[in-house]
Amino acid sequence: MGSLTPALDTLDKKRAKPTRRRRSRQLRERDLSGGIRPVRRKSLFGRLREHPLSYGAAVLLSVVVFCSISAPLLSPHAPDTIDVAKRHLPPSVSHPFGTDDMGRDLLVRVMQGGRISISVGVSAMVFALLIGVMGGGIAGYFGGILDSIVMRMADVMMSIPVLLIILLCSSIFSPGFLLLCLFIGSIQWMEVARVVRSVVLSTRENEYVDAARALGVPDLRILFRHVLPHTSGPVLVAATLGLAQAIMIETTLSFLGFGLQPPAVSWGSLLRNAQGYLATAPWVAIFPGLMIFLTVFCCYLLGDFLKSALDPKDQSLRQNTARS
Amino acid sequence: MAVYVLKRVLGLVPLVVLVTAVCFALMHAIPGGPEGVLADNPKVKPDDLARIRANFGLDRPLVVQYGLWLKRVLLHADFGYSYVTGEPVIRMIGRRLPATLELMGSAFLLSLLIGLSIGVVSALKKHTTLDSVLTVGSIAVISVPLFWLALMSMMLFAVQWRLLPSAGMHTLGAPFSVLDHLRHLVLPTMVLSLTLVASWSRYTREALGDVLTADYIDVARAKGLSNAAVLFRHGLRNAATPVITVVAMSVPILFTGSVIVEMVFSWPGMGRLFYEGLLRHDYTRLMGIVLVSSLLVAVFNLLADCLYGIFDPRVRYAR
Repeated sequence: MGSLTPALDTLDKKRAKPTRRRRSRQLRERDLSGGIRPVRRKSLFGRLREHPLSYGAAVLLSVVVFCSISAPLLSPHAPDTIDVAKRHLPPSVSHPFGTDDMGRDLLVRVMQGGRISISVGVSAMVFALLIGVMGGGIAGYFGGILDSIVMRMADVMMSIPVLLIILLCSSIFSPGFLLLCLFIGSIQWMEVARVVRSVVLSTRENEYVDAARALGVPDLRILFRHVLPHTSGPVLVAATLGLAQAIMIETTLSFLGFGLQPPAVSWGSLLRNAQGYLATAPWVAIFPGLMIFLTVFCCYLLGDFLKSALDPKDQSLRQNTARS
Repeated sequence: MAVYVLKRVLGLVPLVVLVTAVCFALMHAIPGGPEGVLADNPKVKPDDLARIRANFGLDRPLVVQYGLWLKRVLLHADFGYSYVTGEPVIRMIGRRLPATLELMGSAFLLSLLIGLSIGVVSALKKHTTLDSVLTVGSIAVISVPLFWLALMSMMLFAVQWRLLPSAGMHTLGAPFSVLDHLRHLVLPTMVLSLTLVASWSRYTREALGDVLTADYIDVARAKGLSNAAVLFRHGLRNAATPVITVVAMSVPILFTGSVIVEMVFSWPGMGRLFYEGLLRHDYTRLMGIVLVSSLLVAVFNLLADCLYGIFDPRVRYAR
């Protein structure tokens, strides 16, 4: 008995809802707001699907990451077995990327290298985000002397050849995984800090921040609970771009021989000996570099997409959704 | 203007302090300290080591040492002696610096020319197919690792097509000729400038795009000025400030890029000197190069600041 009435209720609602919606749509289409039609914002993923270039980049990036993570499961050959008889075989069906100067399958080596390059990149980026968000948040929220110290530091680090200093450090300390990530992260936090600081500067002027302060909430708690969450969009963008740059720095360091030391392989160290074989075995030089390029390119494309997708003021993507 | 320049010069103090402090700290972080390399040498006896330490003042408090070292570095450009060759570091750098400056200078001018032109074209054709092709293209170029670009261009232009020489500054054994030298310069310059071209064109597009929507551009058009006059007198001049910022901020990239390019193309410049120093753990040389490059970058930043003052009078009176 009791179950019948709710069912009828929902039926009624089902009938009522479309009309209400239609009416509101008619209202909207009557163009009350001077030509700007309000458009419902789609989910991030929905907007990604409508952007073929960025969608392709996301798919490709996932494939690269997946192949690198599951390298030991997918590889048809052993990564380290030296077989001089198979030295410098050109790309074929059994060795799609060819073999290197020790007769090792290059595809397997590239997958192994991806594990290092991507994991160093991600860890370094996380580290850069930690420093950047903390530094930028504190600088923006507290202002004054803290602000000038942090931002002055960022300015200085942005205007010196930091990579030379990192190379020097790597030559002195010959870093392991963690130290390498710290090195790379420590020259990347400045951009994050600048972005976070600018968002925090505008967010801390909101009434709810005053309200929280009036309630006696401690400053750090306000910063973490009410201010920093607003930086998530720009930080996500910075993270994507930072990942690209971190991979670039890591591969550069290992190309010069100052990344992780053998037997660890990275996309950079795979290219280290390639210069001598440019005439006889060009594939050794082509494929690892191509992987770096593709990964970094996808990250940049995604970052570019996120920048306009997460920016409420950006109209270019909205217009796309409005038209479709 | 003089006051403005003076303020900018004072603004460089934190930079110099930070860079020198980091270098000094690193020198003492080397296992065994600054004289650690000598300790590995079996011919150097412990009492020799003690004498060296006393002679170089390494037994005094760190702050005093830093002060003395800073005085030597800044006043006498004395970066010490190379651990490997025993030569004064400043002389080694002085010998290699011209080649590097030549490479960086030509790459800088080339990127300025091409980058700005591409940027202006895409700003004028904003939201057209050409613009989006150029934008995606420049993202692609930024994503190419410099060392791979160097390898690939060497493979194509020097190995496959044999158009250009692959290494060095001139053909070995041949008499010096300008043409031969320029042929050797082409590949390194192209490689070093390509990333800069991409990023500068993007920033020019943004900056000029913002300016072109401003009211004073409409006013200039309404006055009946020609398109070229609007673009050069009102557009580019106002877009100059952000572009100068980016150009000045890219100078460190030239220095790190020159290490890679000079290594791949065997260009006998400071970058290659740095790379050789890395391989041989010649720390005094490395410190010297880091310091010289940082100071050169600082000078560039100072120049950029002065250019702001010229292009944008508001900057001179601010603060």
